[in-house]
Amino acid sequence: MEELVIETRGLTKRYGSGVVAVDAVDMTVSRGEVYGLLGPNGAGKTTTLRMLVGLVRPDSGAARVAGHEPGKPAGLARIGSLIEYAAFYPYLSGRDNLRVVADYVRVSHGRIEEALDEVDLLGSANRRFGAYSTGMKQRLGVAAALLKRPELVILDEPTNGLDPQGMAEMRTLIRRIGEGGRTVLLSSHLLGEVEQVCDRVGVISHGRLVRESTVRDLRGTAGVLVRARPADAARRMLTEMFGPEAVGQVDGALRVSTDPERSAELNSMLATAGVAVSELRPVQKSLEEVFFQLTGEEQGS
Amino acid sequence: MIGTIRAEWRKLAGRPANLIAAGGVVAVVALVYVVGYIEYTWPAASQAASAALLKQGLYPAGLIQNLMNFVMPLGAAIALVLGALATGSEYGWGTMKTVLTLGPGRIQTLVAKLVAAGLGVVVLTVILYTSGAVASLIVAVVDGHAIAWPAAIDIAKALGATSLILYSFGLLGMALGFVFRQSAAAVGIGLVYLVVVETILGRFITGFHGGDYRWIAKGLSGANATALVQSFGQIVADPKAPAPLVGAAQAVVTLAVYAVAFVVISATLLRRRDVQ
Repeated sequence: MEELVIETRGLTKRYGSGVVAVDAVDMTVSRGEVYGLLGPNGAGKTTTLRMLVGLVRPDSGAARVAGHEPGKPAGLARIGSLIEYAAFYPYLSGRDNLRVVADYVRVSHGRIEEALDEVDLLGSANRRFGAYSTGMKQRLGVAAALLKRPELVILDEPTNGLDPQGMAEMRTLIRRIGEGGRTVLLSSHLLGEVEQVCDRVGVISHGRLVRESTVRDLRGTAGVLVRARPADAARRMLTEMFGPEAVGQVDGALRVSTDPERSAELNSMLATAGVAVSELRPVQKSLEEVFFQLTGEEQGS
Repeated sequence: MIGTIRAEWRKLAGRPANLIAAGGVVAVVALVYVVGYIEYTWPAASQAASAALLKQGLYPAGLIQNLMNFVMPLGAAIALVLGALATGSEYGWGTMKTVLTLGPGRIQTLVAKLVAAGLGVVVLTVILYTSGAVASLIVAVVDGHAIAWPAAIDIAKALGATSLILYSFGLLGMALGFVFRQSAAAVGIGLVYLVVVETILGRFITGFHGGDYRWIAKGLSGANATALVQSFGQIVADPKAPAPLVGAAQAVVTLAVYAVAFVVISATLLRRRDVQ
């Protein structure tokens, strides 16, 4: 049986104005996986993460994180987190800020140099935090999260405000963090980011977790894209072969939900029926399509 | 716990505002002694007699009385501002969020902050009295005056009273930082309270309706701090000066009660409120 590092049941948070920021979220993250919490801005990702580390108390529901209730010192000792943005003392250097963190988490100061090296900040460790660029601040935040060698790392939109180069570096860093059996919970509104680094995804919209599955499952079954003339004849034939639910329209072409291995057979049948095929290739739904489908359904419900 | 205290101290000790305050204390003490020396050494002819008496305060024997005038209200105001910055900035910078996700519980974090602030107050008090002692020694040597220090017990009492006053107002600042979750409002409201409520309203209440409402003023922290300062006496007694509202013992107890109340407010707010 998989060991759950994070488990929430009906986690709900309302704010004073009656706004439901997080609505009955049931979420599970297994040991060793890189889990992406995906949702648009304002969907409830940060509030969910704040509840998981005990900064915000839920109005109802429960959670277990790293074997403890959120916010309990014993649990926090096993979690490294970077929530929303890296916040440190602007008048202290990067290294001194990590010394403060090391004192709080009771870690030897010798570990600081390793953590700085892990995020490639050794060269600028003596500069004031206030003088750091956004990317350096975020990397220092990751270094602080890693300082106690946590079994669970929670990163909230870690690429926010970074330039493309910084984003690429941060993704590489996240992948590295996830190696060696460490569990990572990553929140993001960037589909590509989640797709590139996560094993499993939870899609959150309007405070509700609308889907939770592996990236592969979320993208659904593979299919075949067919561009052919006459289009009506092609659609009629494909519908007869695979059923109406398996045939869709994508950008002037037809998308057939079937095993791409059947492409040759399909081509042959269309040609025999006098349909000229100009394009025939395997396709898979992008996470973006799935995401908008899921959140669109949610918005429409 | 030791690690948490060390972390809090590292933050306080490295903060420019605290270093500037410590340097400011030394500068103000030096200025008081230099200006006092000039004023009392070369006074106007009509003020020669009183100047000679006032100059006694610049010698080591007058160290306590001279420095106690610094403690209230200026020292209290500085302590209040530093206290408000210590907690309010944690919200402004977002570092309260960072600290509370690191592991120590909220109450342990608060206790460490209180201990570090207490150490800071002791350091500030020692800086005040050390710089005053050095300045008074220089004045005595320059004037060829006999060097006689106050009794050790009086110095100990003065250090204790100064620390208590500074700490209680520092705790007020810290509590305001927790209330407003930012430093600007905490500093502003704190100083308005110190100037308007404690000073202006306190004086008004004391004299209003023939003093019928003095009992209200006796409960104000500023009035008690002033009474504690007055309990150490003055270099030259001013017959027109109002008598202390309360005795030294009552002032100590009242200030301690205020300190506890500010800690309870801080603990309640930190423990119960969400951190955004």
